Amino acid sequence: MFHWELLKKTALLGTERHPLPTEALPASIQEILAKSNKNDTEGYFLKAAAVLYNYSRAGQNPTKITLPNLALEDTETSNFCPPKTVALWKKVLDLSPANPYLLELLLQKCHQKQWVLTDDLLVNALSNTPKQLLPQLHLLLGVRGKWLAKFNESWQIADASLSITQWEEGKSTERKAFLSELRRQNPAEALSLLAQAWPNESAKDRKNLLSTLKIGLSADDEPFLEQIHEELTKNLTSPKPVTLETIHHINELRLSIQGSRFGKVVAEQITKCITKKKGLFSAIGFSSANYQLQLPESEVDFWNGDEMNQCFGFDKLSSQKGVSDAEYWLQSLLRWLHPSHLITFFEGNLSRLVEFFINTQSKNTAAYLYAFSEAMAFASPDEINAFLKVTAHLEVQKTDLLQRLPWPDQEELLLHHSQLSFALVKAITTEGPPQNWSSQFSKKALSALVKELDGSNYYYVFSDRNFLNQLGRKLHVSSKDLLYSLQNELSQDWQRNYWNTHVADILFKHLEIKEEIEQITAL
Amino acid sequence: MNFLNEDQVNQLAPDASSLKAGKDLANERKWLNYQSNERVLWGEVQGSGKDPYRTQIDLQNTAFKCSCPSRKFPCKHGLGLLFLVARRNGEIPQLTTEPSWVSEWINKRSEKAEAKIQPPISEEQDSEKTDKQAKDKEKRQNDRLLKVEAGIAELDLWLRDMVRGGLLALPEKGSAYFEKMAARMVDAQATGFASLVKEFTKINYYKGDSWQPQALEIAAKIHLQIEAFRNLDQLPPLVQEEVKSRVGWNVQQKELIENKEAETIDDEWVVIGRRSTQEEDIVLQRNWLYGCNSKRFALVLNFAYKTAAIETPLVPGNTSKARLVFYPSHSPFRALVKHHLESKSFLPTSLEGLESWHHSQLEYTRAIAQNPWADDIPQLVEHLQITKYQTHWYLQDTTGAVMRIHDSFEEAIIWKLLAFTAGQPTPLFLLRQSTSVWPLGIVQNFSYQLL
Repeated sequence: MFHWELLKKTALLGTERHPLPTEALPASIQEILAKSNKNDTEGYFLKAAAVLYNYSRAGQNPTKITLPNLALEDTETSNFCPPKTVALWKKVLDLSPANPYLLELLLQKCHQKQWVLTDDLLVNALSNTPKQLLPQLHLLLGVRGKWLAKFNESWQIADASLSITQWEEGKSTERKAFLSELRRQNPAEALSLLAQAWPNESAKDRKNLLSTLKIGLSADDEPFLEQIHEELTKNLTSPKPVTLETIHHINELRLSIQGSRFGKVVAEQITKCITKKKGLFSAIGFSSANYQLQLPESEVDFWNGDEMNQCFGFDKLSSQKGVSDAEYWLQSLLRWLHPSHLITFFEGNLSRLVEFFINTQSKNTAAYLYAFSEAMAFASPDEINAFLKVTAHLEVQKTDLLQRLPWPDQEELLLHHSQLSFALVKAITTEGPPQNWSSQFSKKALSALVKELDGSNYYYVFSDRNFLNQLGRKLHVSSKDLLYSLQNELSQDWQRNYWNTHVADILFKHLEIKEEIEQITAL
Repeated sequence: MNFLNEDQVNQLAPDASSLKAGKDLANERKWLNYQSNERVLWGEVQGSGKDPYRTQIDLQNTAFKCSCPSRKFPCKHGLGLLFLVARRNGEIPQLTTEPSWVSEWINKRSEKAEAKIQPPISEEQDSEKTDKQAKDKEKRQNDRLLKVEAGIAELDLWLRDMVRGGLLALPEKGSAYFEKMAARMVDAQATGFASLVKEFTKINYYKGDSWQPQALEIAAKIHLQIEAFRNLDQLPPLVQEEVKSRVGWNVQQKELIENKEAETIDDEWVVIGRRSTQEEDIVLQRNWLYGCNSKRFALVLNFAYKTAAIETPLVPGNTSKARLVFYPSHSPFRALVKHHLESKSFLPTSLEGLESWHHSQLEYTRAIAQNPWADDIPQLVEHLQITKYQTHWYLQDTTGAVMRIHDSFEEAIIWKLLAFTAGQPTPLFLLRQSTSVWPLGIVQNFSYQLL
């Protein structure tokens, strides 16, 4: 900014209205201007401006002030990533679009080696690491990286520790998030907190917060659920919809608890409808054919529309053609009732239980089995595993149940007991945690994938980068040799071309990187 | 082996899509073959055509040739091959004997380069023809001079009207008011003035009062240039050349290269920075160079129309062994690469810069006094430490003097500067302006880290 104040008024108002007062200018400038024609007011002003501009540019000495010394004094004691890994980091950070799953794998491997990032990687890594991976990145930052991260708020890790203020003063969503997290860490403490706050919560918040009990639900939660159920249903005349919904949630939760009193009552009502045929075969051996389901044809006691509606929120009447009201209510109950009741009833024999559902003389057979498979999510991993084996070729909720098993069990089931559909491949790819698939399973998954190119929605399937990114993380590295040969399974040129450019090229690049990341362990 | 690293290859990409496509091609499987030797890198890649594309890269002068139909330069295949080699740290198959399609091209390039070094063999000229050419040239110059003078008279009147009425009226004028005058200057063959007038359109008139001194600064610069041109015949010949070039009277490249009197310097030139800007359809690429032995700075400008290629052997961050020819001026700065021998990724010698901001200011004042039209003055300043006060970043020398880093300087580059220096005193190449600086790169022992 050159001597603006001296010229300001004349510059803004114009020479006609406000000629330049030369006496205010520095003497050296006045000397130069003395040779100019003062009557040429515009020329005189412009000359003054030009001279002042250069006078100002040339004569300003930099200011001397005391500013904070930001310099990092500490030296690094950890080992830096070796050059090969630095090059690999650049490749991973350079992937466009980015693959956070491979980045996570690289972070893990480098952390195992106790390496820190070199100076030239710091800015790129900090700027391109997704927020959720920042805590892992911070482990590799070293002295300089940690110092650098302080200068940019977006590079700092958000304080993930739970703050009671979030619960006490936060908005509804923040309070729910707090309670969910606490429930994950310490279910009893979360329950106690909810129990304390319950009387003062609004009806809407009660309903909202109650759903957090699904996390880590156990028999310890039953007394509280029973207590609040009693309070809410006492003298219930014309409840508000939100109160009814809360009651339904409470009952659903009570049903889902293994060995709960309420669950037992409901299970008893259900098993009462399962009768054992008396006959020769039943005396020789057990068969599901010996069992039959006999639901009441008209409303009685438990099987009552008003009861079902008030207690669980089910419709009073079945809306499905050919499905009786009781059949509809049973299907809905099966979804919530802890499976242990029926498993015990069938003496722990899951194949017999499944056969029973299949042999039920009802239009609702498939729906019973599907609803029961949803409730199987509350069962133990061994029971889930056994259930998935007996239902391998049946329409049940597979994806969610598979996720509850360790990966080797999942893989064993998928390899030997299941038809691997594209939908299933996609579900286990995108919904599960990062796993390393075996070469055998990778091959099977890719075969299911390539067949999808015959489908009409292939474009939407393969343009899902998150899906391809996760595949690139999970597939076995040896599959990269298979990628391009899979095109031979396609009959059309455009399909082969599409496969190569939109799938194989991308996965090949990812698998190449994954292979290099895996080799870090050997360095 | 003289391979570029990934950062340097990034700098060569003509646009973001070429960069992405180039990176995608850095995949061995896509290349049918690729080899190199000391002077050339080549490979064949299967494209959409029947025959594979043949890609060649001159490693000494960073030049490309590819048989693909792309109009971009370098094309994605050239970039892909360079990325592939950079990612393999130069470890690729070596072949001393090149295939004929490679040697044909590279030999031709070498011959041309040698021919450039050799002074053209003087031929007996047809004196009559030469006289006619000289007369024609003089006539053209005189015609142009008249045109420029008329244009400048019009501009002077316009400027005087502006200051008579006052700058307060400027925000209401709209950009068309300035663009019209800029177009008049283009018609008058005074493109330097056109650029200056266009600076009025770049001011944000609605952000406080900061536009007011900015507008007056432009008016002052225009006036200074008008006065210099009007007094042209009173100025020394080399100052006249500088003034003429500022007006837009440029010496043709061919003419400059053939001019035996033009100053040439053979040196190892560090390409200390590059900046590309687009003005309407023209891309202007500025390359700032520093001669390791001559300790001279130079500015090499390259122009291209829209996405057309800019072919230059200069690689930012590298050191080019080259001969530069300087445009005639009393303070020679703008130059052309007359001959390029090779490009290296390290500094051939240690470099010494100015000791402090005080020395920097003396140097800056000297440069401004010599050439009042100079804008960004490149400098190498020692022991600069990055620091922050409130929301602004500064560079502080060992005496405690500070210079503010230009407000438009990208924050991402500030982070790089912090990461590389850890806030410790470091020699920096920078562009010096009157009240702020624009860092270009860090000198670390025998390497230059471009920012």
